[in-house]
This record gives sequence, structure tokens and C-alpha cells, in this order.
Amino acid sequence: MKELTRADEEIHVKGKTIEEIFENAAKALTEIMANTKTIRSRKTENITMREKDEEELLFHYLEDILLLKDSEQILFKKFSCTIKKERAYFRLHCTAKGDTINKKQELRTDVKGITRHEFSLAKTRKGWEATIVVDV
Amino acid sequence: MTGPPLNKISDVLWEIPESYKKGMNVPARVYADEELLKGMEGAVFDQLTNTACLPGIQKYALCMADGHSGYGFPVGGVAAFDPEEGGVISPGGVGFDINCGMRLIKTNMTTEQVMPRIKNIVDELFKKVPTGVGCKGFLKLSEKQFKGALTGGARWAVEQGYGWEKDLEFIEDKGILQNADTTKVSQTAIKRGVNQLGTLGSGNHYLEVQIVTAGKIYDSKIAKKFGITGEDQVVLMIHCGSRGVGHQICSDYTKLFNTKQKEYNFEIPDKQLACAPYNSKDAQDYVKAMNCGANMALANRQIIMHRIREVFEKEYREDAESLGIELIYDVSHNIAKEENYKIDGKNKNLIVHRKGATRSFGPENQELPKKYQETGQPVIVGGSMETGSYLLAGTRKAEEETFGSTLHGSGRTMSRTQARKEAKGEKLYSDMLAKGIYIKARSMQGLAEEAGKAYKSIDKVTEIMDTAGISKRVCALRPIGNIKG
Repeated sequence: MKELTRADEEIHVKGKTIEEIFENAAKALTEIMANTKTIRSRKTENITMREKDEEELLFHYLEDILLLKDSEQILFKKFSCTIKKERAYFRLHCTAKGDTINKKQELRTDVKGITRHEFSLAKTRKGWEATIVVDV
Repeated sequence: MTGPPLNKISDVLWEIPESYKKGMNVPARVYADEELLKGMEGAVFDQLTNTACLPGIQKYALCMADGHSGYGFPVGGVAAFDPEEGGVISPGGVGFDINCGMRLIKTNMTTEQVMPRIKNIVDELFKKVPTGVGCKGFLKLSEKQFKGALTGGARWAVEQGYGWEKDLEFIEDKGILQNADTTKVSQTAIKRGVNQLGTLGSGNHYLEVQIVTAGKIYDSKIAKKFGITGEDQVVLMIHCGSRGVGHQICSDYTKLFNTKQKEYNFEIPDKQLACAPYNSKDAQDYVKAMNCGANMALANRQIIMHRIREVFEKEYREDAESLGIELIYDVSHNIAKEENYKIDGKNKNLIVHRKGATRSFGPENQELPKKYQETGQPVIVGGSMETGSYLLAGTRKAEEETFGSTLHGSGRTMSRTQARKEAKGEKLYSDMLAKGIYIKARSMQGLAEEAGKAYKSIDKVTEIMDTAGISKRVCALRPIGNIKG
């Protein structure tokens, strides 16, 4: 696989459905920041948003996870997503379960931002694939 | 070697012609010798030549010797744009971590005084300066107070009691970027940053206790002017930036600019290079928001320095003044600034983007404090925690050739994934302890990603820039204690 970035981190995810891609991408993003096995499911947050295309929806969904990490100090381990088409928009509802950042968790590297460099979400014959480069 | 044609200009400078890629407005130049060039990955050249396609770019898209691939611009990238020729500003050319930078602090202590107490000192610093994922600072600020930091920078921090008035003299722009407007910063950005003042973050950010490396004072006259009195002198280095607020400002304006590329009639090769004509309202809004991010970083490093003073005062039961804990300089290496340069005989006000590159102003530059008028500015180059760092001096040649810019660090030789495969945090920790470097790290995996072998030789990259005349080596600095996320 071509190296996209040496300074930062690349995420490559696959999913049978678009919902699975969203769930897997969020989990992969969190795995950069912490071992998700060490995060307990003690808090639930509902993330809802809409965008005109699925790619933008994925981008802003991942940004929201970073926002919750910085503003509420929460990391999630489980993500359950539904995406529905509503006229000109795609609407996401995600139930995320996790916990406040604490010393019992195995923390790794902070993610500063989701970049648009080589960012892609595409439908394939077997399902969906996404590439995400994050700034760490 | 595959990749773009690289025409040799000198032993340490190479050029990719404008004809290499459709859309390039200027050639691209890389500071490296043959060996460094061979180690640079293809993505560096892709990103550098993409940068050369941006509107209004002047002379060359430049990559310093520490260059490696990031997103949008390469890390180690420098590019200057003329607003009078449709020149732009690009949030991706500044980076998510607006005003990420370095601060070097001197002391009048020696290895002999500090080494026996290094464990206590590092452990105390680790308690006082939060690090790692989602870390919160000790300051509990209202949004209104936090906005004071966003417009006031290090000056705000000093006014709150975190530091001394004379510290401000030794910070780029005297510790405050004036054209900052919090109404241009989103509420999301405020929420991400409001509790993060005085924190390091993670990744390659650190706070290090260092000593001046024996046998590696290259210019004792300049070293003395900078406050380096001799080998074994203890100094401290801070590497961190604007935390969540800066990151969100970059996200917000990259999004906005991407929606406007058609309106501006731009065809950019990478969405992360989204930009706006500098004279447009959108660009000016970004500048005012970016300066808020930059001020957060300045306040952040100022508060961390205050915590360092507190730790040393407690450990040695002496005040920071008598321990000589004074600022040598604070430099930014992720920023865009208006600066004046002579281009083909004409004075132009340019927007200089430094993305993982440090300002390197030479002697007699009026922007510098009086103390450094004779020497050129101190340039602080952070290396890996294993191999050490460097203090350099800016040059006039940099002002003529690289828009007053030089390198910022070592530059990576391998991705973080590769580094994790090749180095194990626990082993690295014990190896470094055996070498006399005591580390407190929040994450062992994060430690492995920052292993010395994941970086180019700091000796080599600083030597290249010295040979090129862009920044002069003053002295090398070696770590004895380090805290990181």
C-alpha cells in the first residue's frame, strides 16, 4: 500500500454496509488514542447530524468524536449507527458507549484533527471502503 | 530513483522544475544531500509540488532538510504568496496545530546539580504539566476568560501572574499576535480548548530537561549571547501548540474554503490545500481566527514555563531568578505571517507559510530583540528524545533564499506504524534510562512512535542547513529528563 503520510496516521476501513464503515472508522480512530478494550461502557452519547453527502457525513461524525474527547473527556468503545436518506440529506444517528478518560485506560496518541488529505469513502463490489488521514 | 526529476543546484540543494507537474506555478526546491534525498518518500515530493500549484506562490515551494510527508503541505514546507498577485492563505499550509512551536529556557545550573535530582524533577513536572489524550489544565476558566488568552497570548498569561514581563521580549511577536478576533472562532473550537491551557498534548510533544552537549558548542560567541555559558549547563525545552482550539480552527476554515474553491476559480490538487485569496473576507476571517489559535499556543507555553519555575523553586528551595530560569527564545513552526521580502528587485509584502519550519531571521532584522541584533535569532530545533536537539542562529541568507525560514526538527524516516513494529516502548524506556535519560510518559506506545530510529539524524539535517547557510549551528543539546503524552 502506498504510504500517504509519514508524520501522521492513516486509517483504512472496510464494511459490508455504510453503517459498518461509520462504526469501524470511529473504532479505528479511537484505537489510535486508546486501547478500546480498556474503555468501559459507562456513558452513552447520541450523535446526530445531517450532511448532503455520505463522505461529508463521515468526516463530521469523526470530528464530533474528537470534540467529545476534548470537551467532555470521553472516549468510546462501541458505536451503533443508522444512516437514512431524507430528501437532499443523509441523516446519521449514532449511539456511542464509552467512559470518561481515566488512568485505568491504556491511552495512546492524541488525534488533533481529521484531515481532508486523500480522504475517501467509496462503494465497492463487496461493500464500502474508506481512507482517512488523521493529524496526531 | 523513481519520482520527480531533481536537478542539482548545489551539494545541499535540489530543484524540481516547474514543468514536472501540470499546474505548478514555480519550481520546488529541497534542501538535502544525496543520502537524505534517497530517504525521502514519494509523498513528500507529491505534496511539495502540489504546494507549488497554489495561486500567487513566489519563487519556489521549499522543503527543508527535515522534510517528510504530512497532509497538504509537507512537514518542513515553506511557501510565500503575494496577495497582489492573487496570493492565498491555506489553513492546511499552517497545520492543525496552529503555532506549534518550541521554547528554550536557560538555567544557571549544571549537570552535577541537576542529575542527582532528575527523577524528582521529572516526576514533579509530570504532575504539574498534564500530558496525553484529552488532558485538562489546572486553570478553570470561563469562556470569557479563555477568550482573553486567545487575544492576549503570552502577554495575557503574564498579566495573570504566569511569568515575568521580561519573558515577552524573547518570544516571536513579543508574545502576542495582534490581529486576533474571537468572533471568528467557532463555539466548537472554544469548547475544545477552554480547559486545555497549560497542557502538552501528546504525539511528538514534550517537555525536556537537557544539557549542552560536550564538544558540541559550534559557535561559542553566539552561544554566549544566547545565554549558553558552557558545556553541562542545564536548559529546558518545551514543544507544544494550540491544542484543541487550534485544531478546530483549522478544520472549520478548511471546510469553509473547500466550499468556496469554485467561487474563487481555484483548481487545487488536494482538498487539504483548500485556500482563499488573502485579500478576501474569508481569508481575513481565517487570519483573525488563526491568530487566536497562535495566541493560545503562546499562552500555553508561557504557563508551562511558569510551572517549570515552580517545580525548580520547590526542588531547590530557591527562587527562579536566582536559579537563572530565563527564556532564551520562543519560536513558532506552524504559522502564516505577513513579512516583507525583495523579490526580483521589488519589495513585496508576502504571506509566508511555515509548516514544520522555523523563522530564521538574520542579524540586524528589526523584528528581533536588541540582544539578538548582532547574532540573528535563536532557532530551536527539537530532535528525538533519544538523540537530542539543537540551538541554531538565523542568517541573512535565509532571508534572501528561504523567506527567512529553516528546519524545525529531525524529520521522520518511518511512519508511526513502522516505528511501533520496530521499537517497543518498555524496552526503549529501559535503554534510555541506561543512557542517563529519565522519562515519564503517559503512553508506552506513544514512546515507541518517537524512538530515535524513527527520525533522521539531527546532526545531519542541521549540518545540511548550516552548509546551505540558512541557519548556523550554535550548540547541540542532549536530554537527561523528558515528559511526554
